[in-house]
Amino acid sequence: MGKTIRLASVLLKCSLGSGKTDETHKIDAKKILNLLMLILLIPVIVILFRTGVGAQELFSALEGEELILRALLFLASLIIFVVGIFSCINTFYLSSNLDCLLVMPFTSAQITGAKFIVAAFYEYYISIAVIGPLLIGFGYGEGAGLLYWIGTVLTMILLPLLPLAYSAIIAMIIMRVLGGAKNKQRMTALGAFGLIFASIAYSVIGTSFRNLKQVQLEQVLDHMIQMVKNITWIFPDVPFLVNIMHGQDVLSIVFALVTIIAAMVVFLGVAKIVYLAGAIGMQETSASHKELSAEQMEKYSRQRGIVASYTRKELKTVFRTPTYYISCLIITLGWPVILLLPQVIENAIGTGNKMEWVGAITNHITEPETLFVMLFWVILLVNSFCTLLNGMAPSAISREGQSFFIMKQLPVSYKNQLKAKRNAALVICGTGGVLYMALADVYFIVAKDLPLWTMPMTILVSACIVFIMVDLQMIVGLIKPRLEWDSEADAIKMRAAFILFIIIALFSFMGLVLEWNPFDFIEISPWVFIGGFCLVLIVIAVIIDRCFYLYGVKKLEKM
Amino acid sequence: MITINQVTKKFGKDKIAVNNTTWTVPDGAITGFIGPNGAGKSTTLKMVTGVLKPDEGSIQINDADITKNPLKAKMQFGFVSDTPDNFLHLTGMEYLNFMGDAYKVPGKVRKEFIESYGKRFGIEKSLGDKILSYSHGMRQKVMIMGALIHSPSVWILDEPMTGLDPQASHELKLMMKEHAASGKSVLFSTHVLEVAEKLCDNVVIIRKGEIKFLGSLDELKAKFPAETSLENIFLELTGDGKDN
Repeated sequence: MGKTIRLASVLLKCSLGSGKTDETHKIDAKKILNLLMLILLIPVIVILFRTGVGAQELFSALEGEELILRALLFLASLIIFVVGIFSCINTFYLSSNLDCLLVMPFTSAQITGAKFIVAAFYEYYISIAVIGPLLIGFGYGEGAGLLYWIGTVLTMILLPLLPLAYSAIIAMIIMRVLGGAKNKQRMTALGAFGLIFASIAYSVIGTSFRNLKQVQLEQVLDHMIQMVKNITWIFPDVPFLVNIMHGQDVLSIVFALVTIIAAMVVFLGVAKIVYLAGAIGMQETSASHKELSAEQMEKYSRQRGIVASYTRKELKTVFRTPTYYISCLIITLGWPVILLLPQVIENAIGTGNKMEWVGAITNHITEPETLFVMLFWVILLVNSFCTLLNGMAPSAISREGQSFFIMKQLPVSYKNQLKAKRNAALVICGTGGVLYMALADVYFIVAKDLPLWTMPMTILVSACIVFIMVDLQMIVGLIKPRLEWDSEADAIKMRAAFILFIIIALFSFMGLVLEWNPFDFIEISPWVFIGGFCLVLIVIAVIIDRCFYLYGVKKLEKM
Repeated sequence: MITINQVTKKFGKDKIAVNNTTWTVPDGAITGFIGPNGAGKSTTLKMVTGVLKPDEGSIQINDADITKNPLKAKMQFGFVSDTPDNFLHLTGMEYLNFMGDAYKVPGKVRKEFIESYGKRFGIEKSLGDKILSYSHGMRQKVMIMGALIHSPSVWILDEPMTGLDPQASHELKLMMKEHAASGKSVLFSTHVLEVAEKLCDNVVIIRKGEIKFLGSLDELKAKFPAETSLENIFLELTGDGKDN
């Protein structure tokens, strides 16, 4: 046990590291970033807290407090479980320290135990930032006693462990079964399919829940009671944790702990049997050893401009590195598939509403002003989603890792290198945002008689928003780049961007739901407003672009 | 030619990594850069190649100052690092092509270079594979090719023989000799004194950031007539070698 904890502390130190690269730095940028993140987090925490209070009020009237707590913890466990599978594959198998650890005198249980602690560490972000405020809000609303608060603390500590143990077991079985595919590249495809599958499952469940809105709340509650009763056995610690908080049952503390310990024993037992077989040879990569043909030589040795060549190099690296692929590509490029597939499946099996929601929305829009307002919030939501949750720009420098010195040795100006890295991010985020929005525009214009002017406006505003956000993300990535990392996942840290996205998403949803209309405040025609708005966006984009180059070049010179 | 003029580099307030060194790497010669771990070799090479800026002094690559005119200076040299684990997700061919674009090498020239050096190093069948799949030695070979793709007049190599098989090592030594014989300069760092003894026209020995010896091997041996081997002379000059 001591060896496991010692190893976990070393792995955590390696993956969290200070990342300090500039000895002459006067201000600790990391502290400023953390502070900024904390400030950004406050509104989210407040909203979650108020949601907790609101849920308590609503469900106490229906005597469904226990049920909602169960449902909440079950949902949190489910999210941790899904996220955990990728996290475990990454930590257990794709980490660059694997080959070093395998030759050291550690048992597979010690290695997996330590890596489990590292993976759990990241899951505690969900526990602290999401579950914590909700439970505290709920307890505050209830005027809860001491045992509730003890239960809350225990829940925050224990809840991620069981779903993560499941994730780790599934990850190990996947890697064991795929014994013939022992290389990171093939895992890329697997990761992609897994994530899309999980997203579809989530989306289908979401659609089913939306259908339940047709019936009365009591009926929904009955349905939920049955459903929660039926499925919470998947996470057997959840009823005990709820009993501590709501049922004030001290004995449940023991049961919860025993459940977690049992899960850990099973996990370590499975690890002992399957981990090494999946891990050995993981770092190997297949090679064809085929000589290039004369045509291939001709094609590959064609001269290109350095910015284009550098951009291609960046994109190829991202496409071929599983961690970057998952963080930078899948969601950004795959979101329409993820959103539309359940609809397509429902239509195919004849139970769907044949895209009636599109008609409902467009029928609702009768005036260009309303359409503009709706479009604005959708554009902001989609593009902030595609850029802020994409790791390309913020990790542009960190991805170089210890090969960063090559950036300094190449006879290519820093401005051109930054431009190439920015362009690579623009290609991905632009495709995910601007291109998809333009395609959606075409559909709505052709099929749903949307005015033609929406097309150029959508493209222009989307492009400006993507451009501004990518530049801002590049600047954030330059502030404290992380060049010494243990695994590629450490190069991609997007906590601040994630929180910023949640804030923008909340505002966008509220804007959409409430139809916040700027013309209520400014009495000008929507057309003048659109023109002025685009002009302002372009000016902002140009200014931020200049700032990015000025700061970026200076920063690279200093590093 | 590399001219290092009164160069000093400090880390923090107290740690002097390189202390007011002045020396040159002449054209038409192979210069070996030798010193124990932590003596200041890597720091010096990083300053020469533009990764670090000297606190004092200047460095010229041919006629270009690496600090004042970095892009021109960087076009003059090819650098082979001691860590070949770079660009791992590109194929060998993609990496070489990227380097060709970075150094503005015309397509026809780079194609001829890749074909010729690929055969010379025996990696022509692996250029279509990812560098990640290469052995350490193969990675080193492709990095050497990338560094030399623009036919630089100055070669700077940091422990270039590490991981190379005897054939490739022999080939590289031959290339270094040919390059120097054509009137151009080679600077390489090594810990293997036998290699330095057989290959170098000049040696520079550094210890604790200061140049302890600079000159030809004959001059070095003449300075220490009592010592029978380069190893003994090296130990005499660098003390116990525990500089770090």
